[in-house]
Amino acid sequence: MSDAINPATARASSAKRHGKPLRATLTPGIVYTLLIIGVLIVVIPLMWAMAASFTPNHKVFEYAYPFTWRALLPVDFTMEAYDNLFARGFGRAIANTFFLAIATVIIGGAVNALAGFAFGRFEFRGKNVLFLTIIMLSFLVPVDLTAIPRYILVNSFGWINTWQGLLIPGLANSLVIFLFRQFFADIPQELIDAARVDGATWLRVLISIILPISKPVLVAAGLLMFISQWNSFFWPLLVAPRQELRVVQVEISLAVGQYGTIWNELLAGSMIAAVVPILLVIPFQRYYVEAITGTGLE
Amino acid sequence: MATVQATAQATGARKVKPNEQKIPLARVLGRWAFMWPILALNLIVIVIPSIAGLGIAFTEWSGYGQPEFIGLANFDRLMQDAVFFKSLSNNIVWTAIFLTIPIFMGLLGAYLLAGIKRGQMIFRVLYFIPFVLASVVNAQVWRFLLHHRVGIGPWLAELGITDILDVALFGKAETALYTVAFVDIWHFWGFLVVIYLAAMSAVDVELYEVARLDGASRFQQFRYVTLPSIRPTIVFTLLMILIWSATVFDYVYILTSGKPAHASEVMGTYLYETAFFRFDAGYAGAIGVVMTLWVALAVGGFVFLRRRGWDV
Repeated sequence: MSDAINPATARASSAKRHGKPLRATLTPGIVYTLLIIGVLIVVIPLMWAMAASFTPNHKVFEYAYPFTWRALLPVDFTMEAYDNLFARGFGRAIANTFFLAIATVIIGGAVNALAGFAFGRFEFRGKNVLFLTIIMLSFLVPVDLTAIPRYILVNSFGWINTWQGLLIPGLANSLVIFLFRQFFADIPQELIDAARVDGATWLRVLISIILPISKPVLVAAGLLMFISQWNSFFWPLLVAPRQELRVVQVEISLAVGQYGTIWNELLAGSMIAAVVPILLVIPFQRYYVEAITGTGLE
Repeated sequence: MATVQATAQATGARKVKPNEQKIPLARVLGRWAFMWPILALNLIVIVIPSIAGLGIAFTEWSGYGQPEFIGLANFDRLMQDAVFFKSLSNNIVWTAIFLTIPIFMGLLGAYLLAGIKRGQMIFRVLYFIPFVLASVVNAQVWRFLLHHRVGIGPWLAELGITDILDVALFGKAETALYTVAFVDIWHFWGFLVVIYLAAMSAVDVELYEVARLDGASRFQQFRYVTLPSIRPTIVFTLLMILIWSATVFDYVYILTSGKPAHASEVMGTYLYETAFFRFDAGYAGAIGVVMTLWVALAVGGFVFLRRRGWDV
């Protein structure tokens, strides 16, 4: 998109050339003003919450009522909320969530990449039916409906309150299979042929030829899987309520009722949970967006 | 399995005909080995639960023990259930809201962004942030900001503007659903900006050139060049919204759980409550079947229109 000539700028200059003033001209000033309003809509709520997370709990309300600028900046800076949170075992939840998300990226990445490779490069009978079934079922049938039998199935394996129960149902990701399939299908056949002639197995081709040139799809798939596992809440709440296995999102959501809403701690937990996807998306946004828009436009 | 062949699927350069190349059975099994892990996982996570989930709708079942087949009785019960109709109508309201407001915001944001050179990337990242945050996080932030004792509402009340934001928006029957929808839109609109921006950037600049020569105003250019060019993307997002609106769960569950008195109940939360709190898994299955039908109709309609030659 960077190399495309910008339509609106081109339009503005041409309007000048023709000397035809538009009645409702969108001057750059107006455009940037509107865009900045959009940024404020996004940023102010998050800043407000962040400031409150660094404020002593009894002052959280004081600055916001009546509203002053102090609500947006932590003037009485304190780590009290964070200290309390960690004293109650939030560190454990963070470690759990990181472990789960990384395991999901590694194991799920391998499983989905293998499937994506098979769907993208192999021909076998029933391939398209199989692909459509997997994609369609996972998009068509509501997750909350399948959660009931999935819970019962996982329970019958004895996986309630276990790592397996948390991890395994989150590994297969249709969107990620789709991404891998698209990417692998577009790789020139010549690259693969050369290796095959030398007698390399398919697994060897995948590892030593395909993966090294697959950085964009690997980053995108990794991000998707990491963020969706980091953010997942419903399934962990259902399947692993035991304290030692709690993930960040469950810990935050339980804090609401459990401690009668201690605002600064609730928001401190939320900020910790927010910072990880934000830090990941800022440098890698391009891959993430390309992945999502790419699948959507297919 | 005998017709396994290695084709250059994308390039189409060297298609190998099925029987030209005999592939040893071991090799065939080897290729299938790429699929075994995902097939096993999908069986456990998606296929069995989907079929079982739809199947339990025809049973009386607490979730434990043996389900008892009762035919369509659960659906008869649905037809008499005021709470179900309340949630269904809330899903419809939700759909109407999401098919309009976020689409408008997304198109506006993308249009404005497409027109600037400086800072496009920064704006795009910032708009995208709420979309990558967890529903739990966004919900807590807004639960805090919209609390009737803190934040915007009391501030407006100071200024003499009362009864708008200084009330318990999540707790009142008239406002609960709309307030949850507001939070979800705040989380969602940046995603549409990014998707529409990508589509707009791919529009051929010469089309604008031609439109301008014909004397098209800026609005006409948007109406007759931009919109038709990104139509497939818009239709795709409409379809996604139709699907997500049927299955919406997380924001409603976290913020109101359908309260007060089912005023903000949607099918997703009603299903969850029915299955996991009232242990009526069969009836919950029937609600799930309605949701599935909605989604299937949306997707079916999309496929049908496409088959009819619509360029959607």
